[in-house]
Amino acid sequence: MLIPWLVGLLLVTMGPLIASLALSFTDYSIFAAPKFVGLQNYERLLGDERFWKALTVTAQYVLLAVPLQLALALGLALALDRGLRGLTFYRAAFYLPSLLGTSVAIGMLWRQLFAADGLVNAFLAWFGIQGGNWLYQPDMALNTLIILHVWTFGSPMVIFLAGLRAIPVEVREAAMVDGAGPTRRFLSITLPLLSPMVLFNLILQMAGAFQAFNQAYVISEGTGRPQDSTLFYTLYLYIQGFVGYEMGYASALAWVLVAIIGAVTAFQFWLSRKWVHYADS
Amino acid sequence: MRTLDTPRTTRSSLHFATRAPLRHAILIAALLIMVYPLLWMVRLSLMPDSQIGTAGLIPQGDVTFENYTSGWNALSVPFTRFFTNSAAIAILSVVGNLLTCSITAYVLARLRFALRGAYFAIVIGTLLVPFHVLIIPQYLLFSAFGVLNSYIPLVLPKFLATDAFFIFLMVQFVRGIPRELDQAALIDGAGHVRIFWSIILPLMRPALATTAIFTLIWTWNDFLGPLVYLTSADWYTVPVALNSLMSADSGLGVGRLLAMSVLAVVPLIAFFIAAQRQIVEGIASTGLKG
Amino acid sequence: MISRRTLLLAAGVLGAGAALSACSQEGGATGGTTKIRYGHWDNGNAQATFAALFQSFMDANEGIEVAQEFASYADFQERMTTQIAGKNVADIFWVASPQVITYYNNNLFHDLDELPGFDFSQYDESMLERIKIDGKLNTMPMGMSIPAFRYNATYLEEAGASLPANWTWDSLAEFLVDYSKDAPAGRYACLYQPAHDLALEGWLRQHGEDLWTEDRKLGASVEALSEYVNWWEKLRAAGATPSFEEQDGVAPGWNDHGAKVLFTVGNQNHIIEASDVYPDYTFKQRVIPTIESPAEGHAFGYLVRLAVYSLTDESKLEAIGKLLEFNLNSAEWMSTLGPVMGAPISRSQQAAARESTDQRIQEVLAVTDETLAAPSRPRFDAPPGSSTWRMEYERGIEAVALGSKSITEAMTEFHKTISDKIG
Repeated sequence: MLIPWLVGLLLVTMGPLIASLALSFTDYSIFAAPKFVGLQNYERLLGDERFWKALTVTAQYVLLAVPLQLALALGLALALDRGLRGLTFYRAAFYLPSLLGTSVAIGMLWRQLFAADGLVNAFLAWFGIQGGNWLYQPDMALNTLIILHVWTFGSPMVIFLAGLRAIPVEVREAAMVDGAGPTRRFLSITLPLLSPMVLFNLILQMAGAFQAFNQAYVISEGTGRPQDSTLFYTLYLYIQGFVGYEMGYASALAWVLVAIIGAVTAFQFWLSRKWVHYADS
Repeated sequence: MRTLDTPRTTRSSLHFATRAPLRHAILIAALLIMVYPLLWMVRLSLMPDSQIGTAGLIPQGDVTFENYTSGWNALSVPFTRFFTNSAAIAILSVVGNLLTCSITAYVLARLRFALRGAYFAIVIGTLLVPFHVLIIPQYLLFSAFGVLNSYIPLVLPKFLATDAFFIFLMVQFVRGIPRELDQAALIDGAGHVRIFWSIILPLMRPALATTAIFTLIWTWNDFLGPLVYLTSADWYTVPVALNSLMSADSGLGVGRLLAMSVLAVVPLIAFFIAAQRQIVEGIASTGLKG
Repeated sequence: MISRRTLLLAAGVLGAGAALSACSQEGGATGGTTKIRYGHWDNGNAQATFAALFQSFMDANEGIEVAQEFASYADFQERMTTQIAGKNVADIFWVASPQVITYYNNNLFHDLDELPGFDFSQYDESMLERIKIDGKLNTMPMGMSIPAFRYNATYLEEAGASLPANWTWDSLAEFLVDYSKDAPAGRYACLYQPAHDLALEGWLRQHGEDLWTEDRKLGASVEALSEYVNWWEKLRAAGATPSFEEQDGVAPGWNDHGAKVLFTVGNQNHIIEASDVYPDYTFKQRVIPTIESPAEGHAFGYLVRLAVYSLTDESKLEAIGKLLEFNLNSAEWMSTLGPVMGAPISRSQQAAARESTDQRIQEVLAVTDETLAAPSRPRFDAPPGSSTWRMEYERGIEAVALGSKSITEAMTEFHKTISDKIG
């Protein structure tokens, strides 16, 4: 019964997947046939300054953007979680940006927002802060992308809300009767019960952030400028493969990324045993 | 078991009633800050190019629709065609995913066969691989079949159950459906097809809704695939057309770029408003199960 | 209420139908019509004009259909990548300068010596000889781009100044610094543009070097590169150019910053689109200045080219010949589009351009004429592996402008990176 789908999976996904792994051991410039070079690409990778830079930039992005986004998501979920009237409206409204987050249109909007005479600087000027030219300062450019990611907190927020709603009211009220204050209740009851959701969001968002491409491409016009401060890993991969015509090297870069995401995710799961509480355990 | 959906006691209601206005005020303020960039974008798109540079926090300037009219016809084909392409591809993708991912999920979750574990692992594995890696081999494949510059390379994979994310989603969901229902039907003499169609599928509605909605949104926003597979302007989707409006050293003003960006985003927002309950419920319920 | 079953069935049929119709769009000639795919980019605004021109051609030539495949410059190169891999490049396609040799080495070009219906007599023999590779004519020049210093004549008049008689880099630098001292607030003498590739090449040639040598290497020396960047750095330090941040990096957009400056470096054909952005001002231009004793034959023009795909159906060649005749030789094309992709090469199009009353076109032709009149030693195309050179060069300049690297450091790194890639 599965045969057609199996064929599809093999042809369209598995085939190219294996092909790309094979390519990573070759020197393939699109024009000529691939030439086998063994581990050369991987060796080159280790000594490639820009590879490490791209990895650092991506890691910075993941380590800053994801926790900030999740903190905001959790905070707002808690704020909305009190039987407030208009919950559906707020929930939907806060969710909207994450719908648009990865679109090219928003990337372009973001360039306008952070332009020297853009909205953000106008806003800061109101408080007397002189904003610089965000997209052309190596220590500020990445922040625009981090802010963009945080702006899309709606998606994890909705998941947190659902998680909060599933917490039995008896448990909370029991805590209240015991005299526990809101902070105590949060730390000892809410957070542990919510921890599976936190893990879910963490893994999902991190895997996504490692693979982020569109916005870095649009905002830096495909170059990772200034000074590679917005050179996301996938952007570097793209430049090597599609601008520099080094498909073999690009494939190697891709598989290193797969390994990294796999390792990080596995680590997350392992670590989760320490802090995640499942209801049925 | 009472959750927050059940009515509260009187005491709690009073307690919240007094703090509600403040809470609302803060929430509205946060909302405004979040959403303002979108409003700003719309306002700028309605201003002539020359005034956009000096727009500032609350843009002062004329109101004009010239960016929309010039942007709509800026490329060799009017934007109507691009919207049609985007919509067609999105709808076809939704149909494809709904059909094939559900069947695949049922098979993976309910049927036992050798290599099931391996198959499932591969499906999940594909979630980790960035698209850029697959694109050259995939492109060569489609090129060999002579189907480039058409909807096929973009839509066919959806009919072949290659969207691992939704398969995963649905598998988790199906696992939450008690097997007793299957057993009962089996006893009645139903085959797998019957069970799938009449029992499982109806119960999968939240997962199906989520799949439909996110397939729609993601294919609408999809950029690299359409860019590579659609070479002539009359096949372009909206993001590709938008990107081709943005030339690095061009004499184009940013006004019509913004105008077309607004239009690119409007269908998504409209769709969202219409389906928001479903969307949000969908994430919530499927996110929870399993 | 439609039953679920019916809905699914309908969707399936719809899907199949759409897929099938989509399928049939791709495909060759339908009974008598020859379809030519024409792949190109543009400098900004011309896509619709191209479409109109193609339509005019189709109206005059029943039985030929032109499928325009347009993308912005970067997207176009990206798409070429996949098309080359899939062996389905457009029948006629533009060739970006860093790719000429690469494409040739990989047999992308169809021989053009025998192109039917094309009038080669409109071309200068020596010009065609220059672009032959290994004795074969396999690309055609569409236009010639020449680096120029474009200036806002209105601003110049306002300042009551006149350009230095001795047109050298040093005297120009002096003039620019002087102008910026008395300029109104927010006005600069010139944009900071060491990144302009053709002007850099001009500088190198004046120093007796070639950007790309005959034996396919990077011919620029670190010294000459550093000196060039230094010329610009001195201007920036003296306040004659905007700061790096002020002009949005090393490749400032004309739209955003054109009104701030007296001078800017650009290709001579860009003056038309540039002045469209600021219709209140008059723009003029000059060839780039020279050093005190420049090397012989330093003048050059960069030829923008197109080619025919080697794997094109031979039966299409006649139609292709007609289309190229229209594209490259017809007066109609030149009068409608103007020299947007460079100064016209064919005599017929040059004549058409000269007839124009548009002053800006005359500016384009003036710079072109001056350059062509001077002796010019051969120019060689970029070798394979150099496709990222502009990106690398810009990164180096960025580092200098931001103060994170010294000029020599940056240029040494650039030199090494590109030399390694060329191999």
